[in-house]
Amino acid sequence: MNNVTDIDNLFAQARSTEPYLNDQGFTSKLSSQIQSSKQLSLGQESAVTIVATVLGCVVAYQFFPVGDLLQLVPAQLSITPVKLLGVSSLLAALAYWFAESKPVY
Amino acid sequence: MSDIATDKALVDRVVASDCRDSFSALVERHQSDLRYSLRQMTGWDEALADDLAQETFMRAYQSMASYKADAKFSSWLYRIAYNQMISHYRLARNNEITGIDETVSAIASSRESDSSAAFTDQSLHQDLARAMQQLPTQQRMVIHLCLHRQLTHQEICTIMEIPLGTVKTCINRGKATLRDLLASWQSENEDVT
Repeated sequence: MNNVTDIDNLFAQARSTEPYLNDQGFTSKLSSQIQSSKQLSLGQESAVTIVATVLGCVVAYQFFPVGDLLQLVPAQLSITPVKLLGVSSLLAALAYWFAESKPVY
Repeated sequence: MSDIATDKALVDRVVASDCRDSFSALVERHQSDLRYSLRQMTGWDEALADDLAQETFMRAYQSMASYKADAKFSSWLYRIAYNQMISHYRLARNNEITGIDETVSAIASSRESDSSAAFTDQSLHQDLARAMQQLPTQQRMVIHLCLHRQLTHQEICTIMEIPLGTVKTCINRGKATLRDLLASWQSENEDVT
């Protein structure tokens, strides 16, 4: 018997005996998920996030001593091999963390 | 009215008036096929398959307006489901630790635990799913759509957005791997014949 045909036959057998999966609350669960997700559309959610971010930035700008903080930034920066190694390690660790972290759907 | 036209009519109603009943009708019509396919894709993990199916229908609902009637609604659903599955396995790749040897022994033991004369249809579905689990995700989907759903190579290209040559390669390689994994089913067939 041809092996390739055997695989085809197995799938044909599976196809002909494929069970009908009863709904068992699948549709109603989905409907309730849709109901809750519709409370705020993606556009509305994005708009709320943007407005909140802008407001937060404005408040932060008013209350924090931005000028003083900017003066703390060094005018010149010397990179030693140890600093370079440290920064590289930090970036590598961050890249690994981003690659492995699970995003929220 | 054809099945495609009916699906399209339901989709139109969902897009035009956010008709929940129409969407529920679409879900009820396609849930069994999609959930079965996802069980085949996930090594017969019923909970995971149902979660992916829920997510697929949610995405379908959210982007219903982008559905074009030039493809079957089920094909469009499979495309979304495939993307969901890719995302899931990319995130959970470190958890895929089952080896081929373990799968072969699991299939063999499930065969032995059945009554010797008649193997249930259910065990065939589960053994197929376990064997498919050993294939790369893309190969698994191609094999399922081609051999089980009997879609044409061109339809598979469209659903998965891959070249025709890749589809053919996936089918050949997938069949070769499954041939080894499902040897116990094949030898049983030869004994019967």
